[in-house]
Amino acid sequence: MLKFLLAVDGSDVSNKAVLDFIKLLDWYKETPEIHLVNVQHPLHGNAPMLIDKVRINEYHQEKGMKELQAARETMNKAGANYQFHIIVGDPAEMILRYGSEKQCDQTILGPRKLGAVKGLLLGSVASKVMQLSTIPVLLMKS
Amino acid sequence: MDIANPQFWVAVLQIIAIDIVLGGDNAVVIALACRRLPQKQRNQGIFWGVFGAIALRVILVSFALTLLAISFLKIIGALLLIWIGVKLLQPEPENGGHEINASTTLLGAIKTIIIADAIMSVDNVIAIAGAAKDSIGLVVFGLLVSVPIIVWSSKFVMKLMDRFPIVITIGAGLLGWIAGDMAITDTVTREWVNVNASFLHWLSPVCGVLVIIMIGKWLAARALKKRMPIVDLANDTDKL
Repeated sequence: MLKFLLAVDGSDVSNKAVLDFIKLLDWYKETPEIHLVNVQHPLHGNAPMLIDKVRINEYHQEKGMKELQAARETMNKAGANYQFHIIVGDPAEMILRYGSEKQCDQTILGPRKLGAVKGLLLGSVASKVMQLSTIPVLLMKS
Repeated sequence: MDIANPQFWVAVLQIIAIDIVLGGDNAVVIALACRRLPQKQRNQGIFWGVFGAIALRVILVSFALTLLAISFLKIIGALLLIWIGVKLLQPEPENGGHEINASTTLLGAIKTIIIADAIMSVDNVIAIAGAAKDSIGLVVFGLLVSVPIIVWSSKFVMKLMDRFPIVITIGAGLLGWIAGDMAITDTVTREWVNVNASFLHWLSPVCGVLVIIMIGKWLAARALKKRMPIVDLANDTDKL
């Protein structure tokens, strides 16, 4: 079965990308299995030393569920075949690793709109994924 | 140092940067420690935690400048700053973490908060005192800046560091700079450096920066090399 990784960060652009992608599902001969992947930034500094792992995970989980909510509603409404995942780490790196390790067939994401200068200075998760991905990447431009 | 002196403004910027990097953390830990408490206790916990963080800084600051005049204490402070800077660059351990304070009781939260406040106030005050270079006015300024960061803007600070990880690197490097400066202005070293090796005034801070960035990045890279399998926190596997 086709396995798609759909990156979700809860932003408007990302939620719009999910909405747009659902409409493209007819493009595919078989119904793909969609994996909503949400990546949470790790905590740095003193927090990991002082707070136990269980509670830090709960914190990431709660934030992740919030960011996934709109995308999940869209999926439910469309009756799509999907799973969701919350992963802690660098967003671009985790999306890349998830895609290759779980043998996904395609990564889909909605690139954040940065101006020319900002885009040049910062790069975005999307541009890093595009450059380094070993599987096809679909950018949902809107 | 007076307002017309460019060194004064450099110190001001340094102090603000230190407060951002080291102060935002404190509020995050307090909030995390209180997460599982019932609403009323949680608000109390957060309030007293923040109060404690600020109170401890006030107390420590009033001692800091006197303490730093004692022989060897600046050198110890410099070593401590190097350690803090290196620690700042380390990523969240993937399955290390701290397993002791798993209790969801008020007492457990209080314990965590007290430890956190103590450690982070010491971090913060040593760094500020180092940057302020014996100016009590600047130390108090540093204290005043850290208060709103702890109370209101920890979320903003966290977002800033997530979006621009370079902020953390700059912060850590800055601690190295201050550490290098402290090491050569201790009462034991000051005279000798001024007479024999005034080039150390710029070389020592530069070495401090390099030491922190190199050790910190090296340790972080080593931690990342042991790549853990991806951990999924969502637990959605039974759905399909």
